[in-house]
Amino acid sequence: MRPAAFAKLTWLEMKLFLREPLAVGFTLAYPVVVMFVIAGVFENSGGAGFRGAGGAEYYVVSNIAVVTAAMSLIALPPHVASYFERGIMRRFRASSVPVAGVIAAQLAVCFAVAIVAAAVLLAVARPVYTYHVPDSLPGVILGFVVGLIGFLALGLLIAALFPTTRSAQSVGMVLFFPMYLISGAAPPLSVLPSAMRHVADFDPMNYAVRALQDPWFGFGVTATNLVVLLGIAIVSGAGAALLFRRR
Amino acid sequence: MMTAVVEVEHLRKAYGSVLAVEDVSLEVEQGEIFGLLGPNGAGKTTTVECVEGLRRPDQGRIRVLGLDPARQTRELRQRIGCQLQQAALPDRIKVWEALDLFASLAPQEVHWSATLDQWGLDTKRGAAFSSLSGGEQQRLFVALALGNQPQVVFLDELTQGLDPAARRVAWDLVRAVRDRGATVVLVTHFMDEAQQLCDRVAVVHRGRVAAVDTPQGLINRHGGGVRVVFSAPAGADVGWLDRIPHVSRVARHGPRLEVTGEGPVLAHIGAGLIAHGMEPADLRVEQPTLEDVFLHITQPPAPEPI
Repeated sequence: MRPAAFAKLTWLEMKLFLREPLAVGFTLAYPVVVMFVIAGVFENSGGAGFRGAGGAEYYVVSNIAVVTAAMSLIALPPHVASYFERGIMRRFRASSVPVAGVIAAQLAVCFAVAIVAAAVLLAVARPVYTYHVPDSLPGVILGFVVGLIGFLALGLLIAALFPTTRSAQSVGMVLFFPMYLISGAAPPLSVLPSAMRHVADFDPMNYAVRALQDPWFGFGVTATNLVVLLGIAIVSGAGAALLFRRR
Repeated sequence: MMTAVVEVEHLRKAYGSVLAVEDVSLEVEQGEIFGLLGPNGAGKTTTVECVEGLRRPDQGRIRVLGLDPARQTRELRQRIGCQLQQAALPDRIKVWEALDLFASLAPQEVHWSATLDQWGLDTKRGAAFSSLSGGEQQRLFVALALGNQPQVVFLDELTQGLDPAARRVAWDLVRAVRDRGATVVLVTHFMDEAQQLCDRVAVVHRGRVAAVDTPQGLINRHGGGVRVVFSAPAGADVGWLDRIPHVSRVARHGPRLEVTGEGPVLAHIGAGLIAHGMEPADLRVEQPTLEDVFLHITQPPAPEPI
């Protein structure tokens, strides 16, 4: 596929994304709404339970991971699955667009939209809530990018495992909400019962949240978070590639 | 001297335990409209998808424009156009966006605005794919298939979902594509379409090619002859009909006589009727159609009525 054609495809995928109310709502609006509500509730809290940060600040930062997860688990899987289910992928393949090219364009769009959504989240929170600049900006950027890569790969795996649009969408939703609840982006991990905290150790979103919190709140770049997220990226990505190839 | 642009030799393809194509061999010549005719599930689409390089055959040799679709897929795709039986575009893509994207994939510069007019889609330029009627979607797919000015065009169930008027328009456009020098491979289960459009037809049945010929050639060989039908008063002597040249069978159903025969049988019957002083007002002839050929080939013969 020539670069000009890939650029055109990516731009088209961007327009298609913006025409999809569910995708736009969950990635751009939903995290902002959740952030406003929960940061408002805990605005006057803060301290040890919130990893030493202010309550509002804690949620502004953590909700960036909600953007990542909502993008990857709710917006991406049904979109990709529909391309296979409805014969859109076949149509593209028959015209010299490889499956990998279409998926690469979709991932590029997810990346761009996630960055914009995170920026929007921070921008709209600015006049309302106090939050400090990150302790380590490169660490935050690294955590955001690695988290996004891991989650997008997970989203592709869902699309590959559940070949109908409906099932991919349902599975994405069903995974997203419990993952969110024990990720630390909803109640802080400090208030979870110990059994639930053990379960949270198996929640990928927990690592995406901490990959942002750690460098932002001054705990440095934690290798565990990045290794787990990259591991998810490799395993899910390889699994999805294998399954897509068999279609 | 004709040259083959599509060659298929002993193609075989199974999906798991289901044998879709058992043994298909065929040759499509430069500049013809070649039809693959057969009932649903005969293996037509699988054959074409292997030829297009969308599926890998289990066995057999395929060459399209001298290229191997399984290995030289990329070169092949630049030179062929495919309209697929089961395909879609994203619901919210606009007609012009689809044409613009597919044009950017072609090796040469393509002016898609002209294509839009040609296929009667100019008023639908900004319409979303999902808002198009079945016929409009079909026309868009054909327009996309022709976008790269292909040398071979594959049309799989082209007129599925089109109303009769739109089908005629589609047929004219297929002829126009051929007249511009492309070779057309048409997959269909509509007899009239094959008879109207195709220079040659392969009848595919149970994963094999049962017969290949021009539509008229197939009719002559497998159509079961011409039937001449007329009424004769009860008691009229028609015994002479058996002695008319080319007559193979005479049957009487009440006042109605059905004479089956080959070639110039009609002229002989007409002459015989006049000679015997009979002038039936309802004399008519039923030419076999491709449908008779199709039924003859694809269905076991019905038991003779007693």
